This record gives sequence, C-alpha cells and structure tokens, in this order.
Amino acid sequence: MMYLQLQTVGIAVLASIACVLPGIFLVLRGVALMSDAISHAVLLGIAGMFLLVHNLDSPLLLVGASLAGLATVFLTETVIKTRRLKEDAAIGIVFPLFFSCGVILISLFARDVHLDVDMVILGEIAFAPFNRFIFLGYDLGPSALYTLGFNVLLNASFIYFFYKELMLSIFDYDFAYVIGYSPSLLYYGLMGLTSITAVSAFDVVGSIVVVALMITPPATAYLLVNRLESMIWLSIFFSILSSLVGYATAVYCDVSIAGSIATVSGLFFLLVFLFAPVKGLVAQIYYKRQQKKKILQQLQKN
Amino acid sequence: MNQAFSVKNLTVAYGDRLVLLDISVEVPRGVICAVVGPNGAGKTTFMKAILGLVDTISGTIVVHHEAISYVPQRRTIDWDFPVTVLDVVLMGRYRTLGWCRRPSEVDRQLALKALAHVKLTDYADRHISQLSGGERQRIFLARSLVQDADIYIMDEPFVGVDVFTERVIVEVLKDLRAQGKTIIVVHHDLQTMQEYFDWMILLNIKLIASGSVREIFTQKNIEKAYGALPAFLTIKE
Amino acid sequence: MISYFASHYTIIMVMIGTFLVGATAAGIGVFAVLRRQSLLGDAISHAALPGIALMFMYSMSTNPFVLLFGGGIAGCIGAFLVLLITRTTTLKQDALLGIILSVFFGFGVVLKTVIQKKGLANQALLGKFFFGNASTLSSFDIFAIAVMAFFIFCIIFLFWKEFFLISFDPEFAHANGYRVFILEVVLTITTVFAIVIGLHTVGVLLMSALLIAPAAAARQWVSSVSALFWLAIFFGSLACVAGSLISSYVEHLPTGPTIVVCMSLIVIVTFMFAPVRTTGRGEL
Repeated sequence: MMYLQLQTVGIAVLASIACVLPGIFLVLRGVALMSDAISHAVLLGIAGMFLLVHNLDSPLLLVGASLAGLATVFLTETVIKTRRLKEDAAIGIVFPLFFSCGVILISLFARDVHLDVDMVILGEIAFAPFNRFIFLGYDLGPSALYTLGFNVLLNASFIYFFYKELMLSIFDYDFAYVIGYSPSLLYYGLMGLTSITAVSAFDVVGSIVVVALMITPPATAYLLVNRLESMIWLSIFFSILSSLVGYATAVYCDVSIAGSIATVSGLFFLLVFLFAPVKGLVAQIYYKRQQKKKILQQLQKN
Repeated sequence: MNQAFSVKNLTVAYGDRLVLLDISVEVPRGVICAVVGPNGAGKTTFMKAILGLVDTISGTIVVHHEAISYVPQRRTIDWDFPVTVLDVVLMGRYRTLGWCRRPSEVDRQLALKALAHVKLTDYADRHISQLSGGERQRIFLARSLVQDADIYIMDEPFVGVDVFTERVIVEVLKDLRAQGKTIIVVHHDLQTMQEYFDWMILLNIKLIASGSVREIFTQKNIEKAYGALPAFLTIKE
Repeated sequence: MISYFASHYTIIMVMIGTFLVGATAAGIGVFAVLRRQSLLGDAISHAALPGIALMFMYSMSTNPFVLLFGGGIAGCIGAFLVLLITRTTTLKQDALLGIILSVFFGFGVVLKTVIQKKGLANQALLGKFFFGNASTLSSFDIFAIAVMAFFIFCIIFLFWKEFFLISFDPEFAHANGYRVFILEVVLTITTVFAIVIGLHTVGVLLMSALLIAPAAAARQWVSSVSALFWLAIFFGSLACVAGSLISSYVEHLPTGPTIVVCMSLIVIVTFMFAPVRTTGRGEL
C-alpha cells in the first residue's frame, strides 16, 4: 500500500514541477489566464483526435491536444492584432468556442466512450499508478511518471537554455526584438510548453489543478522575493509543498485529491499575502503606521 | 559613407489614420540629432520604423551601421519585474552573447563600468522598483552604453527626470559623440534644442525641415510645425 | 396556437429562460468589458462553486435559487479578494483572477466530495452547474430568472450614467464627487448575480463567453453608449434563443455549448464585415 502511495506522490510532485515552470513566465508576462484558456481548449484537440484514431490510449491524443492549445494562442493573438479587442476580451472569446466545440463533438459522436468531461476538469490521480509503462515486457512503473518526467525535463531545459532570452523578452519586448532575439518565437515556445504540460498533467490532476499550480505558487513566490532566480526556486518549492500537503490532507480526510491540492496552494498564497515580511498586508499596514508616527514626531520637533 | 542612416518616402499608418507621410531624410554620422514636433506628430513611430518595430506602407530605410541601441520610453516597462539594476544593464550585453550563452565576469565588469559612467554604481543590486524616474532613465542609458553600438536611439529621455540626471545624460551623449557615434533623440523641450543638439528633424506627420540646428531652428520652421511659436521661446539667430 | 404552445412547452421555456439569461449577461457584460475585466466572469463562475456546496450543506435545500444565492455570496467574496489583492500588491489582475478561479473551484470540488461521502446528494446535482441544465427549466425557474433579471436591469437603469462613467474614467468620476468605490461595489455585486443566474442554465464553463462576446461584437458596429448596450443585449439574446432552438431539435446536442457556438458565429461574422474603427490605437 505504501509503495502505491509513494508512486502517487511521486507523480503529484512531478506534475507540480512541470506546471509551475511555465506558469512563472505566464504570470510575469501578465497572461496567467492563458493557462485556463489552454486547459479548456485542449478538450477540442483530444475530442477531434479521438474521433480520428478511435483509441483512447493513443499518444496522438496528446499531439492533438497540444495543437489545440497552440491554435488557441495563435487565434487569440490574431484577434488581438486586428485591434478590435484587447487581450482579456480576446482570450475570453476564443477558448469558450474551442471548449464548446469539444463538448459538442463528444456529445454527438463519442457519447458512449469514457471521455468524461469531469475527468478533464478533475483528473484522477489515484488511478495514475495503475497505468503502467510496459517496455519489452518489463513493467517500468506508472507511465505517468515517464510522461511527466519527460515534461519536467523539457520545461526545465527550455528555461535553462533560454533563461536570459525569456527574461528579456518579457521585461522589454521591443528591446529583445531590436537585439535580434525573436520574442514572438519565445512566446509561442512558452505557450507550446504550457499546452503540452496542461495535457500531460491534467490526465493525472485535472485542468483546475493545472491552473492552480501554474499561477498560485509563482504569485506566492512573487510576494516574497525580488529576483527572478529566487522566484523560480521558491515557486518550485511552494508547488511541491502544495501537492504534498494537499495529497496528505486529501488522503487523511478522504476528499478529492485534485481539489485539495488546489485549495492548499491557495492557502499558502493567502498566508504569504497576509504575512510576507515586506510585501505582506500586515507588514504594509505596520510600516505605514510607523512612517506616519515618524513624520508626526518630526513635525512636532519642528 | 558619412551618413548614419537615410530614409526615403517613409509612410506609416495605423488603420486608415496617417501617422507619417512620405518622409525622406538623411542624418550624418557623429551628430546628436533631435526629432521634434508637436504631440501626435509621429516622432516615436519614426524611431520605431527605423528600428523595424512597425509595419510601413511604403519607404526604404537604410542604416549604415550594424549595431543600433534603443532606449525606449520608460512607461512601456513593468517596474515590478523581479530584476536588479545590474540585471537590466547586463541586458545590453545580450546581443554579443547571442542565444543561450550566459553573461560572464567580463560582461559583469562592463556593466559595472557603464553604471559608473551614469553615476549609479551603488545601485547595482537594488531592485528596479526602488528607483526614481531619473535613476530609471540612467540605467537604461547604461544598458545602452554597454551595447557599444554605433547609433543610439532614445525616446524622450529627458521627460520627468531631475536636473542631475539631465546633466549626466547630456554629458554621456557628448562623450558618445566624441567617439564618433550618432545619437538620435525624440525630444520635446524646444528651449534646450540649441544647447544639447547639433542636428534636428522637425516633423508633423510630414517632414517640415531637417538639417543642422543652426540652419533649421528658425521661427518660421517652428511655426510651420507647431502652428505657432511658444510664448516663452527665444531663438538665438 | 394554444396547442402549439402546449406541445412545445419545454422548448419555449428553455428559449425564454436562456433569452433572459443572455440578455442580462450581455447587458452587465458591457461594463465588464469596458473596464477590462472581461475574465472576471470566468473567475466568478468558478468561484461560485464552493458557495453552492456550502449553501447546500447548510440548508440541505435543493432549490436551485437558494443554492445560487450561496454561489453569489462566494462569487462576491472572490471578486472582492481580487480587488483587494490587486490594490495592495504589485500582482496583476490576471494572476489574481486565475488564483481565485482555481482555488475556489478546487475548494468547491473538495466540498463536493464531502457531500458525496456523506451521501447527502447525488453527483448530478452539483455536476449540473458545470454545464447547466437549460433543457430542464420549469416555469418556476423561468419566473425566478425573470425576477432576478428585472432587478438587475433596474439597477443598471438606475445607475446608468454612473456605471458608464466609472467604466470609462474612474478618476474623473472621483474628482466629480462620485463615490466610485461604492459604485464599483454595486456594479460588482450586480455582475456576480447576473453570472450566478446564468450558471443554472448555461453552466460554469460558458458564462464567460456570454458576458464578453455580445459586448465585444456590438462594439464593432456602434460607438454610442446606449447603442452598444442595446445591440449587445440583442446579440446575446439572439444567440441564446437560436442556440436553444437548434439544440432542442438536434439530438444529444447540449444547449450551453450550442449557444456559445451561435454567439461565436455572430462574433466571426462581425469581425469579417464590421467597419474597422480607427480610434487611433484604440480598441475595446
């Protein structure tokens, strides 16, 4: 029993690292909700690809989902470029269409298949250890470990090799362009990774946890540190902590694991929002009061 | 080639609104050139067109240098981004580093040197949100210096900065000119024209005039561009 | 006439219900889009879930409007947290919307499993809020939706010019003596409840589109404030009526997604044929 739980925990930890890595840059770029948009839109890719291959276990489903994710980003950008709508409105129009088409496809043509939309939203990590990766007759462990492990490697490599390029293109888009980088290529690269991550992670934890882990740990870290490097490490820390504590709580209280992880990440955020040493609410109120006192004292002296 | 760049028949529009119409101008090397005109004249667009940042309807732009350095308007930056002053200045070295390579100690030293040039050495490890307007302008100038470019393009560097910063910037610009570089500045303050600049481009969607400040900065040209002469302006003829 | 009505009762109920929801969402959505808070609808829709669950656990009632009231409270709390945290930290609104959306919804899912465990209700009840159950609206449902829609429109007409002013230029409004904060509170609460009545019919995942798309499309055709409002309402209700009609005739076609597709078609046609606005670099 313990071994099974260990595998589940391992999968949860890998999923959280995979999610948080692109999420950091989504938050910094101000497009955090693209994670939500992509998580919903991939349903169309999965549904469409399933109707083509009629095989729920086909890796092509992952490909279809990633393509749908990229298509969402591309379409949203196209809408923004027409200058008819701003970013938030553009996002809010494109992904509901993709998602609705996905639901319609499933309802019309794949009703009897277990493509449960609930699964898309919530995932079911408890079953993950049972999908094994069988290679040459050897059981090499849960396949989720390998998919997510590969995903983590992919995301980490992208960030490692293109660290300064990512940082610059988000901080100063025009300068990055003038210098000779391609900020739009980097952006699509980031979005492509987000799509792949959303797809491989939601099979296990569901799209809500994907969104929660992509946004909340980076936001939490953002309130604590001032340097990008520290922010990355701290985000990974909070993300892993959220999934460990969330999983443990869910097992102990016998509730939804995915929901628990999302809730716990929010609780950490709340704690940091209130009690962070400099940027926290309590600290800010305290400093303001101290400043007021100082100034009043100085005025009285004069 | 003693020209920094030349522009022929440049026309830019946003939708069906004309921003620049048939601009043809040449700027020689080794000058500090001001781009002036009233609000909405297309000054920033003109700069962005030279940098290749906007789509043009027509026109050819030939830049006779390889490396251009761009100092944008300060308000396009997110000042809460988690970087320090030194991180920003180091960004100037990225062009030489290319893809994937990390900045080395050599780059770091160059960045610190540039910070010293703009009198901000002590600020190296500070977070950028903690800086005043003038200090922010200076770190962007430092980033520009570190690039060791031939042409420097700056958009309204003197807006909202303190007197000390303004003096430092002018000093740095004159140093650059002495090294044979060309500097182009979108400028708004007509009163400092004759003191800071030796070349100017006067725009109001169309080209009004371009040439040396001594020749072009006349009452007639200013009235043509702005519609009237500002009351406080005195032009030493 | 009467016999037609009797035999097509359900369809007509669905059309009326979704028409009311679409009109209300489009109306209040105009302000959200003008204030660049388009995705607030998405966040509030998700944030309502724990409220619904908690209300159920507290009251044990399955009356949808009792539950939706709980959802409304949770939505308001979520909206105000977004407002508070955006104002007191350097985090941007999009990150906060994402946090509230996922965390609240995750908590709602936790509560849902608690409810299931205790055998208090079947999964279908809360599952309905994912997609709505527009196809099973009763006349009582319609009546309640109509009442809420009436109230929401009353508030909009009462505060018409104030809402537009704070959407367009809150600082100017403040300088002219308007209590901007209170108006924002009223506007936010109204938006929350407009979304919440829609949850029951169209479901969580699609309210976002009903809020944004009508206003976004209408904006491309007109520029006066009242024209925008009425055209958005027209587009929204048209999509809802068309969508529910089509989905009732095609077997297994779910109502909510069909409405969204109809709305998207309106948007696509608009983008292809509406005149390009040249407000400088301006957009909606």
